[in-house]
Amino acid sequence: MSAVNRLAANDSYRLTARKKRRTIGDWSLLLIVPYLIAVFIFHLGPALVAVIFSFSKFTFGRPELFAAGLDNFVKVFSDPVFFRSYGNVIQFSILATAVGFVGSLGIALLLALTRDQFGSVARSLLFLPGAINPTVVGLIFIFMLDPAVSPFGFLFRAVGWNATTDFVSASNAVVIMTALRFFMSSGAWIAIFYSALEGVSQELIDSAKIDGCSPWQLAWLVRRPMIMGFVWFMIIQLVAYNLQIFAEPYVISTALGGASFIDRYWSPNMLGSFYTLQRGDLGMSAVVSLSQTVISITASIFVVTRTGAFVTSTD
Amino acid sequence: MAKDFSYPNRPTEPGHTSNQWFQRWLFRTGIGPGTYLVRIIIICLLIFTFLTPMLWLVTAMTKTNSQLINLPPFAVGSLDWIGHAWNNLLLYLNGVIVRWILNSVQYTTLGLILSLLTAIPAGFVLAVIKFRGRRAVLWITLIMMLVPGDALVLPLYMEMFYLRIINTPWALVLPAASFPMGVYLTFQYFKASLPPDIIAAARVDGCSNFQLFRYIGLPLSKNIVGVLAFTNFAALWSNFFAATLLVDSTQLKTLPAGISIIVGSCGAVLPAATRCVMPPDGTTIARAEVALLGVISTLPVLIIYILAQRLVIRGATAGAIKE
Repeated sequence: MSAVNRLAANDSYRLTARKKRRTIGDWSLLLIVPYLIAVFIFHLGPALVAVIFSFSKFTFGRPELFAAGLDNFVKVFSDPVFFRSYGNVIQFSILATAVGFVGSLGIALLLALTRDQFGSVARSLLFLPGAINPTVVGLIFIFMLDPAVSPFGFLFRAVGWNATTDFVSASNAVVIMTALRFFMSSGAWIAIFYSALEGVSQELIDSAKIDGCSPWQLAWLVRRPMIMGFVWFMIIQLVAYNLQIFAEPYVISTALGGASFIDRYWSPNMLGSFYTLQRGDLGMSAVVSLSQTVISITASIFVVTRTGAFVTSTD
Repeated sequence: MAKDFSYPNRPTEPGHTSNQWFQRWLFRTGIGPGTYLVRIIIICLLIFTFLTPMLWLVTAMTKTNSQLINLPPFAVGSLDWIGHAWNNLLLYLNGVIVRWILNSVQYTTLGLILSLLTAIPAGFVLAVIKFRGRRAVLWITLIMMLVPGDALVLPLYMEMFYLRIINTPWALVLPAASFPMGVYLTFQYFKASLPPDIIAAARVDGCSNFQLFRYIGLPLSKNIVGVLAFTNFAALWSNFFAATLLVDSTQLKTLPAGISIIVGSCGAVLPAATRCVMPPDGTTIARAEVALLGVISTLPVLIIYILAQRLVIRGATAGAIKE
């Protein structure tokens, strides 16, 4: 074989090897395909369905795609319950986010005021209510608000509340739901804040001490700024999460029936499920879903692009 | 003038004064004894407030309705009453409670397996293999990770309605395959634990990407499986909105959705209620039965929280803090 032929054979071998390597690389992408299919069907698909169905007409459950025009939007926006449900969750979100943020950060700063075993044990104990699922939390709160059986009954009676109806009504449902959410989810946020505060280097703290920082200054001026990086992340997440509230008010409303201080359309998700299950109107339900999906996805995009809380580089 | 924080003598050593003890305390804790005491008191009050409802729930299942009203809140009634309450629950719709527990176990287990099977390879591919659209997949994963699960349940219902899997167990199991948080955590984990040099060396030795995953990625993933499983377990077990909407048959419900059915079908938790006797079989549901349901439904997640709290917190913080 001539030298030229040998070189050509080598080149051909290299090309084949490169091609083979690339083929192997391509096949290995199959590893991500199940996830991509799943995320398309169960995350992106529903969002797309909500858009399509919100413009569709339904006759005996059969959709006529894009046949409704804006009718579903008009019907939903002219339903006063829609705006009332959003009013409820917006009030609830503002209050629950403020209480959740200030409360969790305050408790975490208090725990991290000094490094001792007590702080870690307390954090673990405060984390435990997060293990209770929303259904049970809803029920627990019904019991806790009943002065006859509540362990806090002595406090209620001390201020003259002898029956649940003395202080529980539709007008303070937002406050009650805020207390319920704080009880259930603040443990996780306390743990996150506490872990971040624990991550502040001991050298930095010692330097601040030597410079004459008081413990409260240390907490507020040294530790707090170190965790402000993901504060926006937390606030936006809390708002998005609170706007989606469903399980707790649904269980309270179901369990208390006519005596409930929360009706069946208290939150947009409850209203959406009412449109779906009780009225069988998927078009109106799609409009409610779409509004919820748009808010959530916008909040998520904002968190990812603006807060810098996540690794977005693949390199 | 800067304070002198030099380590003072031990209190037991000769020459010890109360001022030195105070300095030593201050150096060790950073706060004075008074502040420390106030901190302890506030934290104890918080712990009491947070744990009281849980303790009450546990003691409530041992008490009759009249004991719940007349005995102190944390007094234990009779342990036999738990058995009595359980028997009452078993009478409800011919023991459907057992079916709900089994459904919850089955859906959670299958969902967990499915989520791990899709998330770990996907996270590995995102971290290790360069391909067109990689950045877009990561962005979609991040955005979907931050969308609350309940936001998509209603449109998911519509989609599944037309896919004809509504009112089947698959309606509650299959969506678990899309676990963006798991993919992101795995991506972060592999990016941190697989330096490019190791990958390059393996490739020089002739390792294909499949082999990289099989011989390096999979053995390494043992460490992340715990975090993913514990993070996802609570979400799958507590799933309520989807279980309420996506399955209609009582026999297919999960335990949390079933609890809502029980308490909704009679006024057992109404403030003025004493007990609720339901026709046709005369099943009695009172507060003790509801409390027992609450404990049964909470116990699996609580055990995991206690045993693997570090992993659960690691999962939560990894989602929130850039590493």
